Amino acid sequence: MALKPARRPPEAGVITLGLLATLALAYLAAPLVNLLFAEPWRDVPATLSDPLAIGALETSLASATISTLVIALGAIPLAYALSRWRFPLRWLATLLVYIPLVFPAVVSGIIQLLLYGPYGLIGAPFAANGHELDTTFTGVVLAQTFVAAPFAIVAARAAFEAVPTATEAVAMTLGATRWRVFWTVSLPQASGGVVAGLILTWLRALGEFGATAVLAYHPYTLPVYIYVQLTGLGTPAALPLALLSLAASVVAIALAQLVTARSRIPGVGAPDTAGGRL
Amino acid sequence: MKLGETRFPLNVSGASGAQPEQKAGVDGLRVAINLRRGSFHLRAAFGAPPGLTALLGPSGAGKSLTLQAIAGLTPVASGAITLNGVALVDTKRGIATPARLRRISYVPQSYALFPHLSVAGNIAYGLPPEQGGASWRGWLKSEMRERRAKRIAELLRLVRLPGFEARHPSQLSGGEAQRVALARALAAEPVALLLDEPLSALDAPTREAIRDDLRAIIAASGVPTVLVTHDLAEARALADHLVALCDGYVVAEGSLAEALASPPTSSAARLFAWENILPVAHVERGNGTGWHVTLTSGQKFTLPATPTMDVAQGTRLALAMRAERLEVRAISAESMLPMLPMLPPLPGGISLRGVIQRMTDAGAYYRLRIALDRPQEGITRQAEQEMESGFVTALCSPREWATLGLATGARVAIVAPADAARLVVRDEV
Repeated sequence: MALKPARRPPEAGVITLGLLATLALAYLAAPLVNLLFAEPWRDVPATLSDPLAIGALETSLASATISTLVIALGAIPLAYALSRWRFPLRWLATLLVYIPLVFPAVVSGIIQLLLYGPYGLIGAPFAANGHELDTTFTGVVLAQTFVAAPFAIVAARAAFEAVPTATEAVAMTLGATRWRVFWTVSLPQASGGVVAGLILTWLRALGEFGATAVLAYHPYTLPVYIYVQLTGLGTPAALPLALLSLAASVVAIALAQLVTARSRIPGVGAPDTAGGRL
Repeated sequence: MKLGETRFPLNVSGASGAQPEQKAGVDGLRVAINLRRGSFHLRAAFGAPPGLTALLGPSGAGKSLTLQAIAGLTPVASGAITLNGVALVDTKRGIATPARLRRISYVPQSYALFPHLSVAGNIAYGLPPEQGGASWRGWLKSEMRERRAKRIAELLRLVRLPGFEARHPSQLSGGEAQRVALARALAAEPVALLLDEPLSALDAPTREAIRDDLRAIIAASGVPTVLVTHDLAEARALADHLVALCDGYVVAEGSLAEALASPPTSSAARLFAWENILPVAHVERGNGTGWHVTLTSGQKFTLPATPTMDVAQGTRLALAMRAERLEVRAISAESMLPMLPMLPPLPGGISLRGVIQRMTDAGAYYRLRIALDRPQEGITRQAEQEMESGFVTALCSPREWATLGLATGARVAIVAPADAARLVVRDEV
């Protein structure tokens, strides 16, 4: 005789958790949903024909992309080193990585301005030759790189830590150099997390406002231009731009979800590595 | 103190660790290493001749660490590793060959297949460049591609997985993954092969099936192999040569049969499933007849005098006996009156007396727990507390049991043939 599954009302704790989760989601969604009904839509065509807005969007897309590439070049090796090597002052390196995350973005901008500005240690020689690092496209990239780098480093580090060291060890015994092991064993296994981290990094760079505004107010990025419109003309002028920014973000988030979902490689070998679901 | 009968290697008598003499001949692997990992200290020295060597030991004995040191995956503090006469590591001469140049393939316990590569990709990873592995040319030239595909197919046939090229590691069963890992290891044409607990990740029925396959594949490949295991049955089924490791030391070494028959220490005896380890209270020289041994239970027996070695004064000894080789004989009540055994022990054998305390039916055999008589009460209380000294386990077949017609509480003599009982050095706390 088959047993019928007992039909029981969900536990009170489950209801509480579900309620809180729903509240959190509603809190996050409310401003966005409100925006969609705030009728800035009819101004979008006008905004798209505003050369300043288009210029700001172009600057944002280009600078965020370049920043992300620069970050990838440094963050991936740094994340690998932090996950695999034991070296002196490693704890300090770990701490440094988090600094841009905990500093207010404005502060990140100020300390960079001190270094890259016309009187800064690095900025002065450039400025003397007519290549200011601040208030230029380079300045925008510098600001975004500093602020967005932690996202890539933290994500890539977690991804490398999840790579079984045994696979790297085996590759070495099969005659591979450490360089080859990195490219053919470590990075491919970490690629999902690394790419997801880079997409987040790109998003962070795209949305960067505080540090950019301090270090490179010009050329306008989209967030800076939105701020300019907001302070000059008020909300109605800023809202269509906000929609533009929102659209770019949504596309990138969807992309990130897609990449991380695809990269999940099931465990190999030992049955004890198989994860379970509650 | 002189001792007879048992042939102790001298190196086990002290705490200095095993350091066997380097034997002549260059074939195989010779290891003498010293390294620390946290509070664990590994001081292993042994040889692995061509063929299959099992590195047997309980968990935490340092087996995997030894394997990693041989593979070049963990640095050695001091010592030397030579393979077929070539020094891979020699700290005195400053030699430390990196793992990738040792030509020693290593299969970890988890197999560590590359999850992002197909079975063919995994195997190709190990192929030498001239067979199309590890080079861009190998992927570009069609001739190379063909040669590589041919070699991969060959290796997959060897491990009995023909046609598995396109599968991915996630689609393999445990046994299949293990054989792919083996094929990948052999693809590199290694000079030696290291397997860390090759069967432990498999369920019991698969393990049985794979074991014979594994032996056949390794034999067919002709590559000298060192296999780590904690399972005596696995070592028995697979190995030609045995190295027993306990707590970072090599406690026994030799051909499989020879090593299993002559554990030098109590930890080795335990590892080799010599179930009975009885502490010895003292040993004294008899008048020409041999050595008189007294157990802590007070029972005495005599070993024939064949002095072969010295045991340092104060070395603690134990009597190790194989439960499955003991013979249990009934003692009638009247034969107890004179304390001489009515049935003399087998030549060179040992005879002890006791009372059957418990009989457990284990299916194919009965397990008897026999409480030893105590002619002199309380000889070495401390030693008794350290080990279960007052009991002997003997196995007997149901038919023997029926013939004996005994029951719990019966008095028996336990007779051990000479090759089933040994004096061993007590190296356990």
